[in-house]
Amino acid sequence: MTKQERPPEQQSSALAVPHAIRGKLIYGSENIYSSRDMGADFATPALDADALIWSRREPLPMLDTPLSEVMDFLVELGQRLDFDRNAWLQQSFEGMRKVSALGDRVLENVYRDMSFMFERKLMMAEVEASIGDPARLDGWVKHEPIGAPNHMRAFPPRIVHVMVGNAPSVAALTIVRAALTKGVHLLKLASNDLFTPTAIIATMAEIDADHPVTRSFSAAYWRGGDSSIERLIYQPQYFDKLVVWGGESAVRNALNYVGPGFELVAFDPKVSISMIGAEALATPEGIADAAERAGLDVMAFDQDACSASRYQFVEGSEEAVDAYCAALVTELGKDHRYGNAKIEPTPDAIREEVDVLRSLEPIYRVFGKPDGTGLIVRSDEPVSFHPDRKTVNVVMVPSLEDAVSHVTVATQTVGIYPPSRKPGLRDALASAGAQRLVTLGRVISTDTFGGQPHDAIFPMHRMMKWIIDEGEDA
Amino acid sequence: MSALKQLLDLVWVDDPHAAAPKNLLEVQLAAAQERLDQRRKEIRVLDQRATDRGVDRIEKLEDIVSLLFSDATYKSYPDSFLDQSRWDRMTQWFQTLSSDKLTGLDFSKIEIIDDWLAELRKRGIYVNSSSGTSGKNSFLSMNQADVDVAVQLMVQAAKFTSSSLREAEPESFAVFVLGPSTGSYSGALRSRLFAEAIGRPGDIHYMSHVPQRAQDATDLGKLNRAIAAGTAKPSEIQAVQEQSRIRSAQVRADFEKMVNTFLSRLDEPVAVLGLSTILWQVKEMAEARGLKSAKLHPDSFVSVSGGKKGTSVPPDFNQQLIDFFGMTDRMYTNPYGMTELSGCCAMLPGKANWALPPWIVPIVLEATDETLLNPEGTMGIVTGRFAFLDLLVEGRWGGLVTGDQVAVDFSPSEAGMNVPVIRRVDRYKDLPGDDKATCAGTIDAYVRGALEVA
Repeated sequence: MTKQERPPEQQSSALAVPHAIRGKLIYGSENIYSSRDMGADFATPALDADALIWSRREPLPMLDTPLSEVMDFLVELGQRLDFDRNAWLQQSFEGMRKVSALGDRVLENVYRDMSFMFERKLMMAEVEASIGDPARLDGWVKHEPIGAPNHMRAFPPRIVHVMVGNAPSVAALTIVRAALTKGVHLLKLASNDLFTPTAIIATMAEIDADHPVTRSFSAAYWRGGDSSIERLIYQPQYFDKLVVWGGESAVRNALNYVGPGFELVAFDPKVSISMIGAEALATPEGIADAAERAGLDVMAFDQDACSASRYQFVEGSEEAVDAYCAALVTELGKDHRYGNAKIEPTPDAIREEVDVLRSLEPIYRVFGKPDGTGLIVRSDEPVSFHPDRKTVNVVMVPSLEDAVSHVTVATQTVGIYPPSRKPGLRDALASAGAQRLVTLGRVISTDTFGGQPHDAIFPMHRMMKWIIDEGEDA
Repeated sequence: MSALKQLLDLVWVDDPHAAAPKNLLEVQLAAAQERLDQRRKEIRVLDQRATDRGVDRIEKLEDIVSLLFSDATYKSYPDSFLDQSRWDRMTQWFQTLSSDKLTGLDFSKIEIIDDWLAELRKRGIYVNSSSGTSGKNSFLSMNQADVDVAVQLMVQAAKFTSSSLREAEPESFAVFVLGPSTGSYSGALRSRLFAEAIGRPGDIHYMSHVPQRAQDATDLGKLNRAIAAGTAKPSEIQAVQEQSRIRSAQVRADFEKMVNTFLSRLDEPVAVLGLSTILWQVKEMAEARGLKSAKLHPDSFVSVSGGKKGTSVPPDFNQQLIDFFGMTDRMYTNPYGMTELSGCCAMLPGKANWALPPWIVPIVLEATDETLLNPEGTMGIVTGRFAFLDLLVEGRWGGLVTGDQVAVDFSPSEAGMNVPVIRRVDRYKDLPGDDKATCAGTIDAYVRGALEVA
């Protein structure tokens, strides 16, 4: 912490949340918010709407910075995101303990793991898959689809990112992709991650406060939907696109502002499922293996991620399925790298429904307890409530092919086991709406960054402004 | 005399708030124990809960907190039971929450949900339902005793607030009911019985005679699930929209007729019963006829209630209604209640405050958890989530957590108020929320063309 202004002495009991404006940290406690869910009050600096935008009359900071230099900077940033040595991350971690439900151990794991995305080869893979020739990011490249002498540039965009906080690694993912676009980026913080984006930006400033990458990032909090600020800045004159990471109300709210010149890129709110074939449950070893893999997929950020498995469609005899449920509930009671053995007790609304279903045995059978260690409802039709907070609905199906009827446009990830069942299901699943298929147990994987589509799009491709210059340029 | 009987007897006095015992909470806890002992034998889910939480004795309010159900309990039937017309399973589900044995239903006669409700009614089981914001209906069991006492409670609370009702001759009003004359759920029955208790026979007017069919809401839920699953065709969505439009038009035509009659009889005492939001529609319809106001006769009686119910009425709509219809404290009451209560909480005359009758054990909780905010000995005003144990309810367990935020005064200064008084009510869903954001979501976000029940 050298060039930055130091945080002032804490004046009230409210948690101090700094903003970052073009890479510079701003402290203040003019606005007080209360976080109803986590019970922590927090204070932010006053919002200066003028400071949140970049005028189209001034040049974009990164426009003439070569991609190779941007990547050099990001590689160094990744090296500095070392939890043992980075005071910003440590400070951010302390704040996160008060606003995030993930708990110290999982939060620390996330903070220790997120720098992998800053590896040059992954970043290059992301660029090549999304943009094609990387030179398109640096200038006007010959583009001759029909033989005419055209030039094209993947032009840097101006973007507001509406962040989510359930998986803090989203902060790193957003910043890497955003920096590679070479545009300017305002990150609207979520109340369950008020700190991680700002800590990464502060680390950039520590490397070089005047670097074009640093000057291209701002992060600020306002209550999502606060029209007094959103109607001022969500304008095509200031920003090209609004990237919304999820949350139904966030997406709906964003629709109030999209219009000509101001586009929505939505990572829609999603549900994820698993599909397990009878052959996987044929032996006790098979059951243990499937349960261990499925447990990993359920436990993604304590099942608070869109990719976390909630419904599992399982083939097999009632006996085999019940044995699987018993094994799975044991897995849910273990600590995972991104999930806790025990979280807050199951919310009342789910607990009450499960209590009633339990009394309808044998139509339903319940495994586990509503004490935060994992709860499973086995049924022959999906339950009507949304399985959440380590609650899984295991649905017995005659065949996985029948289960496709439960896949909808809200389905994101489908974890399938054994993998030999995938080829027979892929087209039907994609047709029904599923966006990502994985072998069971791979919901959380480092493969998710580095040239992969996300929610059925290449995000960087969608973020760019694809500008064509037709005809000769000389 | 048992504590429970001591409280239940107060149903039949003129002013139960003044007649409440000095050691009210003590009597309530003893009565709660009697109810628990009785209902555990009948309601499996309650017995299971009491066992899970280790509550056998009710010695303090916290013991009741462990035994509260919520809306979720009464909506916990799987949608597939309805979609696939599994009335046997639906009955089995309903049994787990009902005090009475549901035996001998003839499932072969049941095609739609209204048939199921009628079969239950033949056995003295009346089903109350509310749809709430999620669109899924809750089903609550009432038996004949609940229906009988509900009328008395409505009249008792109304007479407590309105002197014009107290002073009126029996069965002397022309009554205007802002609701349908018949319906499969017990809500319509409750309003009809209230109207008949105070109205002149043959002079009771209903908003509509289109029966409130339960199947309409069920069909809609089924359609929405089909839309979500991607199996509904555009023409099917259109057909349901069209049906709903025709039905709304019929209801509207009846409603217009009733409003004409109502406006022609403003020079005599009338009684108006129903939801405030519907009375707001009456005001709009009167305005559309060129009226600047529609002052009621001074000996009239009006009982309207309910919040905004998701409509776009202005925040001060209740005051605007009072002004438009010239409603005085003498004639006006806006009791606080809900489907889940045996009766309601009477309004203090002229004040947006409500007395909690002695058979309701009020419990105030933290908004988001089960922390009890009104332990024994609480004085003054406590604000939080409203929960209660309704000791009167016979057909089901009376303990419930609601979606309302209330400010309850546990030491009211008003003369004759030997019970706690609710000073303010807000619906949590109308209060500003948190914007904790996650990427996880449900199919609900993707269903458009979802229709409202008219």
